[in-house]
Amino acid sequence: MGPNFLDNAFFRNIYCNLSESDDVRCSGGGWLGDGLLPGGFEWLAFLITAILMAAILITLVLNASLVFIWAERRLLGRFQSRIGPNRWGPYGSLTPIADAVKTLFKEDIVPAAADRWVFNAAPVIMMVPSLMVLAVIPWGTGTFLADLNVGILFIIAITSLSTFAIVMAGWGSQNRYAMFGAMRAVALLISYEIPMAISLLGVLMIAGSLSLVSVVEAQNVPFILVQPLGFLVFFIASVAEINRAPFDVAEAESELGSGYHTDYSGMKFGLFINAEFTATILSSAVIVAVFLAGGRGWGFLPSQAWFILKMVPVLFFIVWTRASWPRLRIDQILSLAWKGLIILAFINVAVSAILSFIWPAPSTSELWLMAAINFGVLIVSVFAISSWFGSGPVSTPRMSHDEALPRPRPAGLSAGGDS
Amino acid sequence: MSANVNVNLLTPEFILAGMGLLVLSLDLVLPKARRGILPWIGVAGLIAAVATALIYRWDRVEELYGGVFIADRYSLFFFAFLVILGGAVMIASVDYVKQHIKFPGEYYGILIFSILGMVLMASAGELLTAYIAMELLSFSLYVLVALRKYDSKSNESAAKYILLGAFSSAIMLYGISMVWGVTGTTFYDGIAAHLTANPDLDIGLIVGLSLIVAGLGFKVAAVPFHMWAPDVYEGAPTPVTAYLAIGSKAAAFALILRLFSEGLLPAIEDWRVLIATLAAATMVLGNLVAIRQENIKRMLAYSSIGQVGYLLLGVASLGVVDAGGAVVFSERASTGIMVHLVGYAVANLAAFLVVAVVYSRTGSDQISDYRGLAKKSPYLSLVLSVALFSLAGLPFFAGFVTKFYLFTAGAEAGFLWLSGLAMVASLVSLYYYLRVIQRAYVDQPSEGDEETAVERSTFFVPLTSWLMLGVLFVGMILIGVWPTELAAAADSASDALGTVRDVSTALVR
Amino acid sequence: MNGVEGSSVTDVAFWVVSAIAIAASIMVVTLRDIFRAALFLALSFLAVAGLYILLRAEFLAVVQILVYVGAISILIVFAIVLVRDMPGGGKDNHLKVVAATVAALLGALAIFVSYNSDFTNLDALESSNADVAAALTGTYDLDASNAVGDEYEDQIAVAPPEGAEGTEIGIFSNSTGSIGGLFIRDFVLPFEAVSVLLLAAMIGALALLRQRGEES
Repeated sequence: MGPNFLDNAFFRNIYCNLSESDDVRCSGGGWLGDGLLPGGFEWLAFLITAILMAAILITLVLNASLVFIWAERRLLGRFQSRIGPNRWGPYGSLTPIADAVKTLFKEDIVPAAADRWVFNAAPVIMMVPSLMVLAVIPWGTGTFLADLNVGILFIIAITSLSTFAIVMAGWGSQNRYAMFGAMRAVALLISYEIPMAISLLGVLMIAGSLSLVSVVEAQNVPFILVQPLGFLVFFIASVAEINRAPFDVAEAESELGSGYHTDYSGMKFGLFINAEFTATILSSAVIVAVFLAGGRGWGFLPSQAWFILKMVPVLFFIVWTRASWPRLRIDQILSLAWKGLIILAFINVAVSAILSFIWPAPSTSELWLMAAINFGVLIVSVFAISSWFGSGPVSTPRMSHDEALPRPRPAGLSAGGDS
Repeated sequence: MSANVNVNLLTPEFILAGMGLLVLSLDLVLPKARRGILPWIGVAGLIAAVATALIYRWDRVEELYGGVFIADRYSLFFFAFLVILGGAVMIASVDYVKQHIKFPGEYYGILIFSILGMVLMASAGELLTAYIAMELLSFSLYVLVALRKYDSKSNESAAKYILLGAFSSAIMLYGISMVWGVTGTTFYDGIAAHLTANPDLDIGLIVGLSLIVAGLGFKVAAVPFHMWAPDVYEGAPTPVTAYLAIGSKAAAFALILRLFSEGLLPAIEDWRVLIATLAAATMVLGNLVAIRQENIKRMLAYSSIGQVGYLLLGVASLGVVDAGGAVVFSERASTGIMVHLVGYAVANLAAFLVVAVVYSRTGSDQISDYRGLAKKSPYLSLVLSVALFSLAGLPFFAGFVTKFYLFTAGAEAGFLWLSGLAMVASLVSLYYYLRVIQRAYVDQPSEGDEETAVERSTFFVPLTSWLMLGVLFVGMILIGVWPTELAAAADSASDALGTVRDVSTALVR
Repeated sequence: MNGVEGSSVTDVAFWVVSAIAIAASIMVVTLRDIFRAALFLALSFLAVAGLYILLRAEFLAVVQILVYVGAISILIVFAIVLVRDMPGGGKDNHLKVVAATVAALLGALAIFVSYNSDFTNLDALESSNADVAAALTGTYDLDASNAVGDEYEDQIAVAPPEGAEGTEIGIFSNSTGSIGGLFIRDFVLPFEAVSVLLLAAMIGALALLRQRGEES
């Protein structure tokens, strides 16, 4: 069995040009014939092709994040009855590039008190998990770097690494705002990893595999329909994991400067911002692969195009959420994870376990049946949990004694800024 | 065996786990005033578990999951012994918990979980399961030791216990991985088969076994792995100290006994001298250092280290090599170990319970403060004396009979010198036990002495403790005078160890 | 795997990853700055995950990252951040030389033992139990009869896909299903015991740390 990417015509050609591989898919050789490299150098051919593919993917995603930045700013403008960026390029479409150039040329400042080594390493480490996740996402038929058979676990594991970058940034800056931002971020990330992982269990039980490629193959009915509760929890958790509104307490501008990257400037700051948008794009890609049947569509478009088309509404939804919701307070965020999402995720696991015990290898019609049952479960459990949430006393964080003056406080979820 | 394991056999374990959860959740629901019933609910559950075990497992020999869990007479003996022991500790701690511990629900719930760990240790037929069961016990104990969280001694002892406990677990796990690497199995009978087939031990196996012995040595506090014991015993809440000294040791010996007789017996010539050396060092050092102790909990800690030495003597004599060079399992030794464990448990629990009661009244654990105990509470000092005499091994009390079983088995297996040493050590122990008794009965306050803590306080023994002490008192006398029933039960348990079960059903050979 | 198996690439990767693991571990114990030491600890865990991947135990590797790097190291770092008063680490003490000597001796012993002991029995093990063999090697031998639970074979995802030569799925071998089978079938009892253990530890930790509402 050869490398996975031999399923993709473009990379098959490159690989087969280079190597003398006897893989059946290389039987016709490449464009330039067969075996530019002598025998025994298949590994070099593999390496070159893999690096090429990684480079192309990374470039595409980084550029996509520029496009996304522009789109988000325009959309936010519309949501808030503004025009949004409109000066540079048609509809302001070149603004991100101008921003990038500006960021590159800004002075790179390292605070005197900072722990230099940690401070400098943090933004780089921030980028790593986003880029590593790229490897396992099946962008279309045969368009993936690695079909890890633990792909989903891999994504969950790798994304948890970004926590380190945030703590390092907070600690390295030796700045209180940065530190507070980092602490909040760590608490939030640790909490939301749990419902995120558990919400995927239902998907795994139905697909019977941890590989993203197999998960896409199993989606004769998109899993957003079969696993609505899982999708709900996963969506909320991934919005929290990428630190976006309404969960952006880590960098809450109105309270903390800009949180853990308060002290960063120049391209290091650029890396943080870029990592954030890349993570957003990648999490929408994961949602598409796991819940929206990945690159599967109708024949008139290539699968890669379907994949990207499906990402658009997901990204739009994320921006829409950001524009519509006020920032939650940190304790509200944590109790939402521990008392709400985890319970919902476990309900989903229990129901899915029973269903996949009844139908171990579900056919398409059985999948529809599951979808119907799961929608019922979704409605009942969300209603139950949210009414339980609403029934308790509204908790407000306790103040230290000298501060604890009685003052009126809005009930329920208040906008961030006064925690 | 098919995958349909006979889960009914596990009912007693399920009951234990369920009781732990029940007690924990009742603690949430019950109003504060009603939480006094928690230990009694727990005790009822333990009784139910023992009863179910006796009903389901009487005369049954079965391996579940291909030998991961072994249900036989030996498991049954230890199930009954350990659960009853746990129940006794639970009753013994009722008064103490009421006074000193803020979280009764957590205390009793975790105590029940630790009992589950103990019984699994006795019935595990495989190293990893045994290890995990041992960790279940240890983690519960870490928590129990630390539960007096505003007491700095309790904190200190918990910190020491956790660090050294984790260290020893790591050592033991490393040993298990070496053994697995060489033999390809973690099942006791698989290891035995490997040892029989390869009489020359591989270096990896030697190191692995030594590390396992070291890890277990930590758990039972055998010299030279005993450093943690006195500090931890001193700082822990007294009922927990009793539990540490008795329960965790009994369970560890249940594990050791099964591991050494079912797994490592074929290689006995390679480890018997090692264990005998450990035994000698343990009994000598434990008993000698105990002489100098001023705190009664520390004294009992060192004395229990000494007792571990006697038990290790039994382990060293688990097998004899007959004229043909074959290794024969010595049922006497294992019977001796079991009987001695029971006798030691009863006597030590009684002693610790007296210490706990005295502490609740006086707030002191110093031996010097025991002056006047005989006048203030004749009952307490009587039970204390009997318990200490029994620990020392005087006739008519439990300790004499049980030590007799153990030392003769040792002498038969060729460890005459070690048995002699054990007797000398027992004599030494009599000295420091007598010091306490002298303090309680004989010493009179001379001119100018301050009143001791005991003399200052008003004394009454709470009802539960009073009854519990009575039961233990009767138990000590009963075992001392009429040990046949106990010995018979231990004998049939040893039979189960000696028999080779049908191994064809096992998972990995 | 990918035509690179057995080639020098895996060897090079092994040496690089091992060197990183060892160097990071040394940094952990020698650095004065405890925060950096914690970061190096995470790096060392990560390198060990790399070793797992080279051993084709990709499930273990990912779990290693998830548990050791993503959870345990983070908690250690978190604790250090909360207790800010110890940037300098501990003071020197006179046992340093002794400790170093003992550690070196033990390390030498461990190396000596692993070179000289005979681990060939693992081969015999592989032939005797299909699940264990699959968990160890990633290849599932359908012919090997499994004493326990043959009837479940079709329900767990260990069997290779139809028509595939060998059993590799994706670029790595698939040992996940076998590990799962061992966990919830053969070793379900210790597995459940672990969950009781974790529950006890968690409740205990909460009881010890709870401050407010203690009276209720």
